Amino acid sequence: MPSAQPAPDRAPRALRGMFDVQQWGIVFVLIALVIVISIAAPVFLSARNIRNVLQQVSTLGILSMGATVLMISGGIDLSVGSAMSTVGVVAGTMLKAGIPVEIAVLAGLVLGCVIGSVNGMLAAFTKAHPFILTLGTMTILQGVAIIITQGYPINDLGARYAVLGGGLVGPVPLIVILFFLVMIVCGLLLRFLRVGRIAYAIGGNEYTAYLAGIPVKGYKILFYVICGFFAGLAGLVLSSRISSAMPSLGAGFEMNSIGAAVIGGIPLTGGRGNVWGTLTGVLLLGIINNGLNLLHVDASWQYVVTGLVIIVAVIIHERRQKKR
Amino acid sequence: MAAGPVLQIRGIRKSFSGVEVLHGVDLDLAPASVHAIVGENGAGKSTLIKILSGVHRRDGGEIRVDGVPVEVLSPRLAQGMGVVTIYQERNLVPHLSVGENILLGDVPTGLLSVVQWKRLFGHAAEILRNLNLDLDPRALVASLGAGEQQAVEIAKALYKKARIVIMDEPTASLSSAEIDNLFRLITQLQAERVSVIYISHRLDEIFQIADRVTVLRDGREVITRPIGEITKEELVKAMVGEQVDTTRLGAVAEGETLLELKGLSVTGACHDVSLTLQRGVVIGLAGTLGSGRTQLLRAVAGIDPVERGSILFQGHELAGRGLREFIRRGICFVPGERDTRGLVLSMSVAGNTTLANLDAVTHGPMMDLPLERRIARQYMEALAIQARGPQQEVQYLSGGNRQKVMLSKWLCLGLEVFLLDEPTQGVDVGAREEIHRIMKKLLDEGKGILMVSSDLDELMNMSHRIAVMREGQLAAVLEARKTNRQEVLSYAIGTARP
Repeated sequence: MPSAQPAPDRAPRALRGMFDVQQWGIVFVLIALVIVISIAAPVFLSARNIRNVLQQVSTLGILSMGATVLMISGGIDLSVGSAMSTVGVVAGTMLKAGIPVEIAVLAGLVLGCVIGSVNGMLAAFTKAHPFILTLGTMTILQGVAIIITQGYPINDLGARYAVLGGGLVGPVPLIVILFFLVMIVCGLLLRFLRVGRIAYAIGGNEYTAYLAGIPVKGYKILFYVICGFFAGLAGLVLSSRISSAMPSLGAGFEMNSIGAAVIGGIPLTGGRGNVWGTLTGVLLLGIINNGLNLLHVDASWQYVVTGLVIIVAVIIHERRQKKR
Repeated sequence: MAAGPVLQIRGIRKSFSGVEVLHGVDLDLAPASVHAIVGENGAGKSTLIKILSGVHRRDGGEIRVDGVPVEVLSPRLAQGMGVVTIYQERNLVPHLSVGENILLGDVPTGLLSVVQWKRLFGHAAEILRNLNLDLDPRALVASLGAGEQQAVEIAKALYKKARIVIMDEPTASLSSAEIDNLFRLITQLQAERVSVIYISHRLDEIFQIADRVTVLRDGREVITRPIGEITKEELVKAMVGEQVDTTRLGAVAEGETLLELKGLSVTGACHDVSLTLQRGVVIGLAGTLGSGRTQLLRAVAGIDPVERGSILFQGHELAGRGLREFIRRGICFVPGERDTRGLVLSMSVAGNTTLANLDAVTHGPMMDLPLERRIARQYMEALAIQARGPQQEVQYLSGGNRQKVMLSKWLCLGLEVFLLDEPTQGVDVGAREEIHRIMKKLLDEGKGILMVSSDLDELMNMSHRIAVMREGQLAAVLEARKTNRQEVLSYAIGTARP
């Protein structure tokens, strides 16, 4: 029965596909969490707290969207946290030297791309695993950030720079708008652009992509550059928000960005996932932290809970994969 | 001592995913004898030895060792009964010494489990001496040549008190001096009352070393004879059987030359191969495993680098160019390992169909998804691909449908030369016929096909010419209509020479 059921498959499907949240399980966890926390601490649902949560998750969100594109293509970047720190302190140093904000920001974004391209070339031209390669660049960049600042934070970055991370557009923080713009760009890229298709292909089966005549190495570098660019943006946004740049600015962010992507359903082997999944991952991590704060749970326990959530999410995804 | 068989096999049957590959095989192995098993690729030799060594479980039949029936076998149990298998791919730990490898799992230890190196190496040296092997027990296995490593495996088997040693293509990677050495070791094994099951494509060797020979064909034992009572020609005939050739390809009015290989060499794989492929023609590449036919195909696809010689496609020199240039000119490679190399399993039918042809479904950087689905649906219809729709992930399709999706990826590019590696491996009969139908359609459109297949029937029926590879060289190019399976096989295993 070859032509028995022509699947209903017209234009709306493309749109539906974009909103196709593969991770309903995680979405349910998210909703349950919201209900539980809002009963325990009604202030959770106040407009102010919601704005607060969104503001808090935006930096991680921007970073995780870059990680989403990269991890779908089968790559991984552990250096994004150190890259955030390095970009932050470089921009901070430039601002202190009286260089205009626009140029410092531009330089920070370019630096992010440069870091990404180094990671990308290492990953493309060697046979070593990017996990280890970017562990190396992570350590190098951490050192660079300390060398630049001699270990001291750079404070008082100026009111104009603070707009990036602290500005408001009406009632909405600029940083949240930025996050959603980044998400839309990455979502459109993955779904509707040729480069997105190639990310899925390389992540799904690199050798098949190569046999199909796709210049795999070049695209790999591009995906690391994209990830590095958003790491740079995240570093700028964070240092602007706290009006301070220090070598530990992005510490821990690499693990949370990978965690958010994995919670959102991207396997470490790549080939699957989308920005909606990562969004649920980012929100889940943010809401857990915010909820525990509201419930006055000690900050140390937040690590424990976050770790447990990552483990449970991975187990759920792995089981779903097997069932299908 | 009564000379009853050490190993008796009766009616062994085995199926893989519903397809029976062994239909009741019998075998008697006499003590201290060398028993050769021969057969074409896919005759069931590998399955049989994997059952004997405990890797696969048999579905039916009886195995007796020294007259005692053996119920369930695992690799460990098999070794416990003295059945040791030496596979083509060596089973040694390369970064340990010869001595440690020989005594692996049984290293002598003293107080606090400290290894007694002196005893270990002394013991190993004694075993090596018994075999007249001039090997240092302290040498690292990784530093040894292929023949020496094999000798270590034999020493290891002897240490384990092996009574039956199974050797799978033991000479495949050996030089002729090393082969002489191996035969000396086999003779010594016989002197130690060890029996050997010897599997090889090389008939010359079998006549040199074996006492008896069994021919397997299509999972059945065809004949078993003492080696002195059979000739090489009879052996080859038994291997191929008396087959009536049915639907061969029709004659072809040979057209324009598409592809010309001149003196093509690939490092470590093939040497000085010259072939010409015209429009509308299929050349089948025959040869045993390791004959270099797949490597030749990969080089012609632009995947592996060419050492010497030229690849002329419609007059353009392609040797030394990259894979993308080959595709741009019109040559594509359809790999044999469909799931691991040919498809992105996590992508949809549509995504796989257009993967090599993204230019046709993009406007600038934008994908035209509706157009992509239309193209995919077109190929689903043309090739009768059964899927829920173009959006279904290919991992949920059956093997035959996956194979057709992989083909549509290249069909939609409209190229001229198709390099097919095992195009029907692992698909059912229906899908196989459909794939052959697609190939015939390509010929009608004036394409050229170069095909590697281990299936001799497929080669005979779906080729115009058969190029037989042997040890990296072109042994013969035969007209498929004028040759027969026996002749092809003779060239492949080297009993006939050009």
